[in-house]
Amino acid sequence: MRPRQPPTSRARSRGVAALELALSLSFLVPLMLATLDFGYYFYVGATAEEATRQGLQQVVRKAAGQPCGSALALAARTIVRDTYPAGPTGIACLGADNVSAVYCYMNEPPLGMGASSGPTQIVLECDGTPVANSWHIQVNVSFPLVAGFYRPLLPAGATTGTVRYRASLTATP
Amino acid sequence: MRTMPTLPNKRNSELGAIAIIIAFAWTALFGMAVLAIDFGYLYAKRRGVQSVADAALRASMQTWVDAYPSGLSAATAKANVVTSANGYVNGSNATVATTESGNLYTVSVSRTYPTFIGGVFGLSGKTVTGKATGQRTGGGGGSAIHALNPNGGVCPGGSSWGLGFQAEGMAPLIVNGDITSESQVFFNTTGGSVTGTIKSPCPLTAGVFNSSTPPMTMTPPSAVGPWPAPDPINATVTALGAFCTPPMTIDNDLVGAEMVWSNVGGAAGCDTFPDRVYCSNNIININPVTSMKICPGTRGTFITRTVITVGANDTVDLQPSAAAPMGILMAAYGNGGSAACGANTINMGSAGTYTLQGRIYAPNGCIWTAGAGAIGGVTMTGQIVGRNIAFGMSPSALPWTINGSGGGGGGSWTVYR
Repeated sequence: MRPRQPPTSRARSRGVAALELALSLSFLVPLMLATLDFGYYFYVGATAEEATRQGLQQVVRKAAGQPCGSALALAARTIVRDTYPAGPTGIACLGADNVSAVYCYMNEPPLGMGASSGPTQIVLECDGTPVANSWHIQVNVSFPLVAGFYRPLLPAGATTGTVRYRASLTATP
Repeated sequence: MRTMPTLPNKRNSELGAIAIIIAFAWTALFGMAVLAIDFGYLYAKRRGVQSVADAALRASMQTWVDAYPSGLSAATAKANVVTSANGYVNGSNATVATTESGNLYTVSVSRTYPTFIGGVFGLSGKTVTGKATGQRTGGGGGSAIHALNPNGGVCPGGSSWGLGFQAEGMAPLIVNGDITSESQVFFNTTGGSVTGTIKSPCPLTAGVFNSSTPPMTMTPPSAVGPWPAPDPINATVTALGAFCTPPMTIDNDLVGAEMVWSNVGGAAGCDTFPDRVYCSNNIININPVTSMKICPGTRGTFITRTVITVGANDTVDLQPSAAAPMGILMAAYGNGGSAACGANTINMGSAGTYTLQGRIYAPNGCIWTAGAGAIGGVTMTGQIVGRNIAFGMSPSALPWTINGSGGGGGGSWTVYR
């Protein structure tokens, strides 16, 4: 029987590389996924914020200072809340009289989120808070993340597997 | 026995390498994460803050303009109402500041947001700021009223129809700003005041140029030159025509011989039209007949080579288009060189009330207002510049108030940056 030899240096370090790799990946992979998920989430969010601003400007301009219940104000709300661009035109439709600036802006490639029955939903109201004829707009965008690893940390979207970004803004006359 | 020095073990030479690699790699990776997550978050928030600043500017700018040069506190209060409604409460979770400088008014909204990964690098929080600036335009330069006709250096005096500037009729005239005329200035009103300076090369003899009963009150007038005083707008029809809302151009109004608005709106109780810079090489006739009333807040700018008439029989409430050049509401270039107001270039005859903003410009002809109309009075914030300007105030009409630069507020405004 051979006497038992003390372990060599190579034998002692066997598995250490695998352990290092495992430890490194346990940090690196979540970090990379966070970069993908949060980066995309805030990119959509920044777009939604700007779309909200565009939409509010449009409704205020089209309502032309008329009271909330007036025909002009109601027509303005219908356009901004319910009128989708004819096709995936990007922001080429921005400034058009009868197309929602919000959907138009959300359609800008690579997002294309302004289509009918798409991920962008608008809540648009006119009321007396904080002063008469104030407009409130809320733009909700429900969309899937790139990797989805961090989905539980973000607000749930309208459909399964999506997250939501909400941008809101109030304007007074 | 001498022992040979042993070469370092290859493996021993790599000891610590992983630690160095990890130190560098993780710094870079965390940096990328900060860029993607923290800066992405802050960028999205900055868009939101900018939107709130824009909303606050739009809500408060007109207040500042109307009360210029003392409108900052009122405008600030209004800006704070809007920012609070959006969740940015000054002194609590945000800083809202308003500043003024000359014709510029700025609303600035700031809030500090936390970072997620940046804390590793000592970036515990970051303040993002949205800033919106508006510029006074209509009342921003020159006199409230400026008549350009030099009349060959002749100063007829009294009621010499349509030379320079004159106001006659049975209503008070209140001018908050300067009046400049290249020839005569003549008042025969029912009282009123001028809070700025009257500038004319003609003699402003007490009791003669101001024949109003009761006399209008005013600061001592001035006949000091130099003359001719420069046209404060000084724009050619070609220059203004560059701002026509496409596909309309100054030579293609898409309408025909005469651009007429009648039954244009359909809104309850008043008519309106889309916010555009309307251009024509022929007559523009703003004449809503459904309700005889132009809706408050209606925006539009009108530019023509010939004549503009405004004939609403109830209320005319107009602001310049958001795309208006130089804050111009109406510009008409007809009636070349005529000395009198017989053929009006801009003719406004509402039987009701005028509420106007911006600049009215007729460098070659006459701006004539009201006749038997404007019983409800005139309130204009901006500037009137014409070769000749004549106000004919109705009997028992409410006061006419022209707010221009120099003596008070007035004017329109545009988003500056």
